Amino acid sequence: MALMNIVEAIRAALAFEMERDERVILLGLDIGSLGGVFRASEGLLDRFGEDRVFNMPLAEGAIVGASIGLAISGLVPVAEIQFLGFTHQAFHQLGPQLGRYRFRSRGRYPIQATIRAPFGGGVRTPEFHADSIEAQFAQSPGIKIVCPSTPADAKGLLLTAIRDPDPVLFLEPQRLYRTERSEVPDGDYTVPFGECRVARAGSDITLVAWSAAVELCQRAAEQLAQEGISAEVLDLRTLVPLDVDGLVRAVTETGKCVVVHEAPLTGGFGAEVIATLQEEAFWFLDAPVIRVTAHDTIYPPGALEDQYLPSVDRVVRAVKRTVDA
Amino acid sequence: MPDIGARRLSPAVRRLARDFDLDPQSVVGTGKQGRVTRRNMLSALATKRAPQSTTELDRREELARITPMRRAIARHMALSLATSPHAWVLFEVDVTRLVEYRALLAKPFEAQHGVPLTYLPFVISIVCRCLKDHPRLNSSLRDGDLVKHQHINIGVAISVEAGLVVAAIPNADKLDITGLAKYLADVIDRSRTKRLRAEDVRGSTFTVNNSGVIGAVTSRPIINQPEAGIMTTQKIVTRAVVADNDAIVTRSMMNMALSFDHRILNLFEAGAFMADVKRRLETLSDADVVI
Repeated sequence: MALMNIVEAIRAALAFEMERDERVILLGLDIGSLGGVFRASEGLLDRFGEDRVFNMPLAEGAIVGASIGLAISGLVPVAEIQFLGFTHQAFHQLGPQLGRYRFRSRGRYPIQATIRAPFGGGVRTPEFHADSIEAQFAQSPGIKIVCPSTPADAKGLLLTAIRDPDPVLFLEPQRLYRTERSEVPDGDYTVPFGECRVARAGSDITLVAWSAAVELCQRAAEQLAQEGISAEVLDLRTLVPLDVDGLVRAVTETGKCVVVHEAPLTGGFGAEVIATLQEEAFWFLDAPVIRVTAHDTIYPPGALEDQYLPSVDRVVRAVKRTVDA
Repeated sequence: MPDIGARRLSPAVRRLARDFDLDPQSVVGTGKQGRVTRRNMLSALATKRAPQSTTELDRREELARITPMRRAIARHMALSLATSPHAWVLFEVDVTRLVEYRALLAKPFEAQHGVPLTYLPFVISIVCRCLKDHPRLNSSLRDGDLVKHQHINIGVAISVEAGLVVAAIPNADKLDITGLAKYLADVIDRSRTKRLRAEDVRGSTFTVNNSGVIGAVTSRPIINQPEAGIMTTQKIVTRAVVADNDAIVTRSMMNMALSFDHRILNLFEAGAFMADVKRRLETLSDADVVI
């Protein structure tokens, strides 16, 4: 066990897997000598050489498109897109291409590629840098969507992602990149996809979240505990595949649920979670399941960010509304 | 949202009311506007005492509380017997090959999959195949007409502390022996740790009950409504049997009984199904035990 923050855990996973599997290569904007915009690949160019760690031009479509070609030719690319909001430029390569190649080639060309991208708000970024557009990719079958919220999960899920025979969109919570160090298992540590995690135990209500919203829910749960409400925090970890059993089991136990995410309300992945719950756990629900999300507007400038994003206060109010229902 | 206040019952409360026969109106509600919440129901169930009985007891008698689950079972059993004319047939099966196969596979199977390999998955697998050949066994009466089910969900009776549950293995015919063994281990574990979900106990189309676990060699099960029949497997015993060449040999023998709804099936049809199950079990081959 070593204490790491999320950036260090990601770097450790990249280095571990590059050491273990020589097919693994890194590509992206400024990932070489600079070590990437958040320094996730710092030192890896020196260690593994420019054949395995190389810069790409400012062209997200080319970064993802090249990853597809590299994977077809037998390599295992791990691409970095500086911010998830920039994948708009690469959407055609991601959705209609990356996710479909195995199907389109009748199984001949599975794409073992990982696309890493930080996302989420709360750090006063300029526009596009904070957009939480994860739900858009859930509508592109063939791509797995992974959203760690802790250093240990960042390492364990990234190793699983790189080894997954199919493409994985690996979304990193930029607000939590360096907020805290916690214990990360040494060596070959993997976390399976499709298994949610109880981030905090509780019996009155289940808060469902992923990525940075998990941390927000934990703060809200702390405050609720002082007011006598015991909130469980469930970290979905992966949106695709979704751990339906784990989700249903948790909500069945408490009978109440609030879903929290940083993406806007309408058509967000929270809607999918709630639709799943009403299909699978309707007769166990004791109150309507509600969402605490960003508002249905364009991501505002930094000065308005705190009003836009879900907050501890909003989560606490939603929980009280649900518990009192 | 229309304001229906205290009359509003959440899905969870409705389910508890139905499953445990507890009238929410008899429970004090602490929710908004006095609504009865799930928690109110659960605490009422936990503290529910048998209603003051008017039964006269003398000194030698004692009144025992019936749990809501046993009450529900009692109702279901009485209803089933009142609804379906039960006919019954017993078959004797030579399961020597099954015993040999399982003896060979059990240890490596458990080591590989982490769940025990009992006889039940083999029997269920054969039953599923025979149900396909005898679709009347996998059907129900609905409004006087026969509804043949295209899917095969095998109900399995599981004894639990509070009574008995019948958990369904959905699409059991699509599972191999390994899949059945794993599903059984999981659902039995969840039954006994009270983690069954509503869908686990719904939708079975034919039930298999292993009475052998208690050592019985015959039993007459009551149909799990609205199914057409319920089959039991009994204890496997080593017996001296007269073989085809008149020699007396020791074989592993097992009785299988079937209770069936005489409105749906006659003895000829039910017996043909049982004969098929018997034949397949007795001639079990490598192809039948793909794990």
